[in-house]
Amino acid sequence: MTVEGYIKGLFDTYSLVSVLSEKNDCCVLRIRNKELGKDMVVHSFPRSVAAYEELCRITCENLPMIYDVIPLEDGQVVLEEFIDGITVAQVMESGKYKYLGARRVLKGVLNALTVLHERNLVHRDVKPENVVIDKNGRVVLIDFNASRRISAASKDTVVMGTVGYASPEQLGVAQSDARTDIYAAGVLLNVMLTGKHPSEQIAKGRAGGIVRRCTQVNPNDRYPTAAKLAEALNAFHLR
Amino acid sequence: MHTIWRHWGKAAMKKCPVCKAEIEDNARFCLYCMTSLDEKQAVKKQKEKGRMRTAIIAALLVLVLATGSVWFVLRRNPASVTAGQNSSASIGVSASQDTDSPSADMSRSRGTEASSSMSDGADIGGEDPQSEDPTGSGSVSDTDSLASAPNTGSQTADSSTASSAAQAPVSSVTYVYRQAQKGDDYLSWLPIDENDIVITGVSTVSESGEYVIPETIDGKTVIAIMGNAFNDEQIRDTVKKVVVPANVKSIWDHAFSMCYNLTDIYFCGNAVYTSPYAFALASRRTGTLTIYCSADCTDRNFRYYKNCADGSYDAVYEEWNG
Repeated sequence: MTVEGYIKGLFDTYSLVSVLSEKNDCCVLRIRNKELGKDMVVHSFPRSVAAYEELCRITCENLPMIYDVIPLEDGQVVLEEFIDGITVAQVMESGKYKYLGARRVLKGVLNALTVLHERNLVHRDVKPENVVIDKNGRVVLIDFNASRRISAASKDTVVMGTVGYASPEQLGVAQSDARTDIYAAGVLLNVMLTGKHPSEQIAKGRAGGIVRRCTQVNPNDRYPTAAKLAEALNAFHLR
Repeated sequence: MHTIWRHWGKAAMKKCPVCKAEIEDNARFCLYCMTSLDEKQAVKKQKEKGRMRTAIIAALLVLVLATGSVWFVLRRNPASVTAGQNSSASIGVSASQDTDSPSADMSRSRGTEASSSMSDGADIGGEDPQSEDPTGSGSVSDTDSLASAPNTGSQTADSSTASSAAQAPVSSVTYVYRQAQKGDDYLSWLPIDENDIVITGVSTVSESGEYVIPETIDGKTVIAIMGNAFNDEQIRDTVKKVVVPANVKSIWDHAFSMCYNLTDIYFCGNAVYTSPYAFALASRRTGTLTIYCSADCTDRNFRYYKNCADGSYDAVYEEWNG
């Protein structure tokens, strides 16, 4: 069965609510169960994304539930939890984050990254558009299109990710690993606090120090794990 | 996608009790500080805040009282000390008329005790880096025996300023492009930390076409050649031979791109992270780029270079003991 055929079959029980994104043959649809009224997200890929198979077995507060992964002739279809919320990028449209809020959002993201890294997965596309906050304040890291498994001796052959949030090694200099996500998390923290990339303006105070350490060119100079970065964020309780 | 915030501007607004940002009336948490606005929690937090505030005020009061009393005691001390000396001296005199040395010894010992405690007090005054006027601490002592106290005070102040001056440069690492100095004036570089330096560009043409990158510049190790370092309109046509020093670990995107005349590159060490685009389009005119690897170059990442000129030439790898 092809991807198109499978999705057509889905519309027997589900109705299309909206198309969330459509680029590079990766299509993301929001569909609703006609009887129950419950929403779900359908991803279709022309290639197989290994991370989703792994994510199927993970339950983490800060990651979306993956209900099913269906390998097909010409790609892969993933059924995912729909998170009714607002992305950090949308929040940023109306104002900057307070330090307290930025820290809580980032801690959610880091929790998700820790879970991924434990399973040898790197997200490689941590950015405000990919962090959703639902109406109860739950922070969820979405979009695993760029993610990949960490393997010992291969470089990134295809440049993926988003310019500005991608670390130097992601742009083909070296193998990306957990510290690649630390770089992006540092940029995310800076953007949440200042609205700008660290190269333009760096956050004030100790947050700036944390951003600086996250965005070191040499991966060895960054925080080694997401947990260590979370510890650094915890180290100064202001309130 | 976001149902509750869809009518962002239209909904009734309230202020977040924690960060004072404007938020929607029925929001369950503040978007900017992510604080839950469950009423009970808010009340509890406010109570806690109130308690914290009183505790802080109480602590401040205690601190002020404590410092005040210490200051008072210190200020009163010289008077009490001189009084003690006077009285002990008089006792000593009166006692020496009656009995022998022991009481006189006692009075002396009391006198030295007093003076030592005084010098301590003066030191405390002198350690404060704000008090540059040594007479301020000197005025505390009104006895001649303690005239040396202000000097020691000023000495400690000097040493403290000296130590702070020595610490200052360590804390700041500046990321400033800087031209190379004499001997290396064809390169420009960027120090990335205390010991390491990366090559960012070439500023002067080498007439022979040889570019030998030094192992160290200004005592710092050269560890990388950054993107587009040799890909400069003035420079790229002149590059024929390049020697990469032993400690260079990475060569970034397009470092040697468009260097059409590049024929030989010598790796003295083991450049582990070399961008697949480092040599894009290089040496298309001459047809062959010979890559000389040192003996300790175990990790042959050089296979990536094969992609560099769209397959229009082959790189040749030769073992080189450089």
